[in-house]
Amino acid sequence: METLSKRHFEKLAKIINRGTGRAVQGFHDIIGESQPYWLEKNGIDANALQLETGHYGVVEQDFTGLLNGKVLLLFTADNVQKILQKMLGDEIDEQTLNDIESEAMRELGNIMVNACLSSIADNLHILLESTVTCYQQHSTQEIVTVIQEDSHIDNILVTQVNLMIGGVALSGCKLLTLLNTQSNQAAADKIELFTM
Amino acid sequence: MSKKLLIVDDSKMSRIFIGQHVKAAHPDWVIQEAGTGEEAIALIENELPDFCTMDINMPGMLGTEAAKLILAAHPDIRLVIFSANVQESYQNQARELGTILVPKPVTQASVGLALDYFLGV
Repeated sequence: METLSKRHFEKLAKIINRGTGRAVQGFHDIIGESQPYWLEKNGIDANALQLETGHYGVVEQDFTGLLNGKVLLLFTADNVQKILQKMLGDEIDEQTLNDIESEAMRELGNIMVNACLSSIADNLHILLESTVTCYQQHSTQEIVTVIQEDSHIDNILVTQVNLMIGGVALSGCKLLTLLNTQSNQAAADKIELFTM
Repeated sequence: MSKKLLIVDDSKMSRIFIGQHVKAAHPDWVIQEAGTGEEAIALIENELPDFCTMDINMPGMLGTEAAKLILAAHPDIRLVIFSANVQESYQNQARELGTILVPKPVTQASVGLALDYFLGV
């Protein structure tokens, strides 16, 4: 049974956007503006998610509590390389870059994803427990398949994240908030109390 | 007098960056590392640090649980929670433990907050 209305989804999008604002405070110039929109999981594809063909570096974290779901932070392969070079310096060789990619991207993603989860938790006055973040490279189709086959989620908030690191603009990064919103009256009540 | 700091974080990169910033300010400090709360508790049984930074989300027990056990057994250790998980619930838990939650990312400023707490500045 659907318990969250369009207004609930609008409020949740606002809350998650505030989370990206929290990350701004931490990184100063890393995150730019974002334009979130909701999608239902049924019938989802790469076009609906506005994903480019190719591979993404994906930071993933599951969360449980009054709201359940997972967050996927997607970086294009090109952006991953630019981020690592900015974080670690131009002098770093390709082998070292490959060795440290997972660790560095996981930590960067950890901060951004947790900023959004903390925003949800604090604005709804709830506690969200979360798993350790993990990082993997996936093709666009693999990302779509993972979402399609996840029986625990039904709606996705897509947030475009524009990064600025050390003066280098990075486009094409996305934050996907995958939610289980079915039969969740308690969450609906909490979201109802949130004032935009 | 040289002090001993234990950095508890499952991110090797965070451990390195925290250690670098601390060493820049206090080159004589001895730094130990642990990747989980369980590892930290075992290390402390053998060698007591003066200070400790503790992440929250790690494999195994939560950092807040590890901190609670460590501070109950060794109340003289000055410990800060150092995490990207900045939910108010965890900030409240830090306060209940008599400590603070320092938000990531690891920067000179955030490590400075931890150092100020350690040294009572």
